Amino acid sequence: MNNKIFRTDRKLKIAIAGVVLEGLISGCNFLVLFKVLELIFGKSISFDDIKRATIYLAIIFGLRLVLYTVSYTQSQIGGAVVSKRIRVGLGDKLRRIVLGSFTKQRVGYYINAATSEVADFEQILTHKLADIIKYWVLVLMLSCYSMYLNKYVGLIMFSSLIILIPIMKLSIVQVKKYGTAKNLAREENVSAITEYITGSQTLRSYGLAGKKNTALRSSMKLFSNISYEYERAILPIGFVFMFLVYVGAAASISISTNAMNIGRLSSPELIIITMLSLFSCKVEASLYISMVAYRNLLISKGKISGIFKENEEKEISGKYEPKTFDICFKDVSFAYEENEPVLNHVNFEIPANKITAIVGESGSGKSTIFNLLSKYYEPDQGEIYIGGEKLSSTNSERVLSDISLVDQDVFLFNDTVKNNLLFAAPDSTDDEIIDACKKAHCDFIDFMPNGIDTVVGENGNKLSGGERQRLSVARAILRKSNIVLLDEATASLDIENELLVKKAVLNLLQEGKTVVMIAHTLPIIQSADKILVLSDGTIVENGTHEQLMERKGKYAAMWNASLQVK
Amino acid sequence: MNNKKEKKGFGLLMGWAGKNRYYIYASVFLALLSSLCSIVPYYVFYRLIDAAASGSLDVSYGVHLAWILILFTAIRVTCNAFASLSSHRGAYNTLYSVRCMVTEHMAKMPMGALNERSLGEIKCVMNESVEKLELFLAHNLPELILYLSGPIIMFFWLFTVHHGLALLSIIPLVLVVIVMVIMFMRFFKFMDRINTSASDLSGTVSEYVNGMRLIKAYNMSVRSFRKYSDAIEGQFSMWSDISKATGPLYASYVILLECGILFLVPAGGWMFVHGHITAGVLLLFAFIGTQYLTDIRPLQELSNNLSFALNGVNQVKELIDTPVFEGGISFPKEHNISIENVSFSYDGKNNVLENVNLEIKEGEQVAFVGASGEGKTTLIQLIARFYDVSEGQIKIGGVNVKDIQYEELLNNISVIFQNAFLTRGTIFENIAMGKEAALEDVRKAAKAAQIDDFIMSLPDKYETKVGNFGGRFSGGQKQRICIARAILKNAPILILDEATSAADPENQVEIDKAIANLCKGKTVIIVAHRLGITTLCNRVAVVEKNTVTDILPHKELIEKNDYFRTSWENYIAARNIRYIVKGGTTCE
Repeated sequence: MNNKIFRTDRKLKIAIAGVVLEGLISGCNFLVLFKVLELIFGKSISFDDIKRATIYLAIIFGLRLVLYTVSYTQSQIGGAVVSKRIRVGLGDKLRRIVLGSFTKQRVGYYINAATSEVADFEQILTHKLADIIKYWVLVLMLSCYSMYLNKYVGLIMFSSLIILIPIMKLSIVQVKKYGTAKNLAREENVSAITEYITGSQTLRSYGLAGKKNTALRSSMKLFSNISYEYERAILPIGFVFMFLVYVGAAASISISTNAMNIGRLSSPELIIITMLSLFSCKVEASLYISMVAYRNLLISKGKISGIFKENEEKEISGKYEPKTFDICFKDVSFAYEENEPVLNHVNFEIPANKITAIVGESGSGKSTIFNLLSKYYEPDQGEIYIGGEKLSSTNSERVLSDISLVDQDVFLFNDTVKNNLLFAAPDSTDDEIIDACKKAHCDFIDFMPNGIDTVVGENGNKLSGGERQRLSVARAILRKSNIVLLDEATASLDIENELLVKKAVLNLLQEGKTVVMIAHTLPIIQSADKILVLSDGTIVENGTHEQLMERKGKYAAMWNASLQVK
Repeated sequence: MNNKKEKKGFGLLMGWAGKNRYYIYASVFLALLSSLCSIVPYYVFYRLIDAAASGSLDVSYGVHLAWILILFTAIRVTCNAFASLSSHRGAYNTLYSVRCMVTEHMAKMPMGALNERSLGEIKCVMNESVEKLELFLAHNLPELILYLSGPIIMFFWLFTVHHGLALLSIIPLVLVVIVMVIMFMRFFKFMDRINTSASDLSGTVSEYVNGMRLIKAYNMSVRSFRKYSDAIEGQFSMWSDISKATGPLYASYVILLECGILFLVPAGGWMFVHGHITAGVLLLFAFIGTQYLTDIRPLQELSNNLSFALNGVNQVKELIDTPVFEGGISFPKEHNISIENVSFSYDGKNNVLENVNLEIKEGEQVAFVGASGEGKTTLIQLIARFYDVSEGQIKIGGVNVKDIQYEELLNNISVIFQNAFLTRGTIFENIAMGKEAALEDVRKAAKAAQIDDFIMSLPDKYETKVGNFGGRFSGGQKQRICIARAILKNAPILILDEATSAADPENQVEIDKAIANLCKGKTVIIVAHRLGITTLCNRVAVVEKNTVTDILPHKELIEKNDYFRTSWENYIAARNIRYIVKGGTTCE
């Protein structure tokens, strides 16, 4: 799968072959020049010979121009094909990845990979790959030709090509060794800067701004120093290589003058062989630069292929056809990180067509129950049932088709209000949509320029938090799903919006469904059919408000405390 | 300061670099030296042909030339290496001083200039724009010198060898400039398409990834995937078109740079045949005259990078050119606040506040209420001089806030911000915030903020690093650490945005206690979202219709102010809603 995505297809290969061929043809210039040389040293050159040579050179030049123009353009297009394929492949992979991976931090990484990392990869693939092959083949060809004239010079030229392998290996080792420290320092520096900027108002009012913030300064200084050390460890490698290559050329000069003096090399041969040595030095310098760029390509490639290796949701198609919508957690344990259990052997039942509230301190695992019910994550142990059917016997799409989630993280598509509602329930009529909006108190739609056909912007950024929440309630009303997961998160809204959202939810509940609700405040769930009290990853109490008050346990204590809140 | 402002681009950047500019200058000098040495291989070659053509080439001369080549390559490579190291040293040091300069400037800017939007921009400048300068100083600048000076020096040398042929050797330049101009013209035609296609791609990818959970829930994965692939297809077809339009031109640029051979061989050959030049000169031009221009090939990419870097310089400049508050007298002893005929506008056109008058006594606790967008937050920000009023004046203890030294003003007003901000340091450091405080005092503040018990339950107690632990603090716990910090700071005036307490309704009781302890004996202004808190304040001010309409104790205000009465009723109604399935009821 992985290698298939990155492969270069036939057209691109042909284009690259064209670029390489162009390089080889450029080498033919030397043959023409060699002919001219021989004539000069034979003292028999006429202007006709020069004319003939010029015609050959012009032919070579014309061929190169045509070949390179066609191949270069084709390799550009071929590169675009590769990025297209990688991006489509990434998109396809992303819809298979377990939903739990789509956390806020991770999402940015995915987006970056599909956009800029792919662009970087393509850039180097199209620009550098052809160059690298071209240079290798060219130097190889030049050394063969030199070998034919003088085996020592040919060997020197060839070995300067071979020496590039350990040199590149060394540079990769150094990059790894110092690059890790540099990346750590960079991350540290970015987070120190982000922290400073995010908290700048607070830091200012406590006199910890500018020079006085030594932590930030030392982090920036450290990054500056480590970046320099990284360069100091990598840079000399290339220069040492360049030096060695030219020492090789110098050796070739003395070897060939010696060979000429003992009559094993003619003057024209001496000149052409020196020309080739110096020319190959130049080519190898370019080769080194291209190889360094290619080395950096591996970083982008690594990031992209890392995503292709991520866990996929299992393809399950077992029997899952719940008739009723009661929910049951049997001995469920779950941890996001090893050894930090969030739910610990949890057992409870949620009756169908009733409202069940989950309460507990923040961090007690309330939202984890929602995450498991939505199959964003799989329990580490135990089983969850809906209507007696195992959640583990099907995929998340099937489970989610019976569930509506209403919380403060409302996602809206960059489309019209109407389409955003239609996505939730494709068969709805206009009347149903208008009715749902009314019930969800979405009266703000009347003030929008095109009413229900107004586009809401990227992730609904033209709407306020309260408006978004009400739209998500309208979706749930339209969707008529059998289970509603409700996270009461109205505390951050202003008074007007809080009342409207609550009224909207009341209308949603009219429809008679299995409702599971995370409650942050207690009065709102006083009439719930069942209340589960969660503490440290286990259910410590359950019952109705009255039953729990009588127990005088944790719930009663929470209730009494809440009475003090003004 | 004044003459610095007149500088632009490179000069400005060198000014920021300070002493580090010598690293940059050294790198430029060494790069030039290295360029000078780069003609040596050609010189050696020329000497060699000359000797061979005249028949005077013996082994010792060959070895002599070989040593010259080695020696000058050693010098060239060493110069080049030190140029690179020096440019990197200078670049990284400059980056550091530019970053320090920006943070230093941020420490003087009005607090209002540090709002969410501009902080996003500053973050971008500090991370991205400044990094661009590294690319410019460490790579592009020495490269520019190398790529440009190498061919120029070569040209001058060739010119001394033979005037006419040297001039012929630069004919390719004329051709490539023409090709480049056409290429850029074609490319610019695509500019609009590039921009729309790029934002289309990033928007679609972002929607596809961010909305994946919903896409699955609504069973839209096929349809969304199609939308995603369409955007990618659009991007692809655009780049294909661009490649078709500009690819051939770029390719010709590369090849045309080497077309000198087509003029130099016949011209040089004619001269040689007619005895005007030696074989050495002919071969020099036939080989080198056709090659040396290829060194300028990377310049085409460099020109893009240079404009990027210049852009980075301008962004930094814009930031450090924002005005700052300076000078003033010390903070007054009295702490009554008077707002007199104050009007304010962010954009100079629409007034957010108009003709506000308000008097708050020392030690009084006042709540501000009002619908969102009516100017509550703006008003408290004006009191702490986040912005300067457009008209009228705000006085503390009878002194205009504009006349008080800014640093002192900020020291004497505690603002509890909406987002509880903790640094990554220890909890102790987070409460002490740079003060030389004893653990006892810090604990006393934490106790008053109802958070000491929690901190003591952590494995490392007050030495717990927030950076490692931050994710596990609830909103309310973070908030109470911030309150402990403010208690320790003990500023006489307190401005408090009550939305903060909404972060963690489960911990409402503790937060309320902590706030009550913080407010003891202070002059307090609370922006109230939870209206319940208004019953605890001395007076309540209603901010509506861009001004303060009423300021009265809670009970009287309910009688008199329509907005407040309706809000209060809504508040009570919202708090008494109880959810039940099939027909909910609103109690009371």
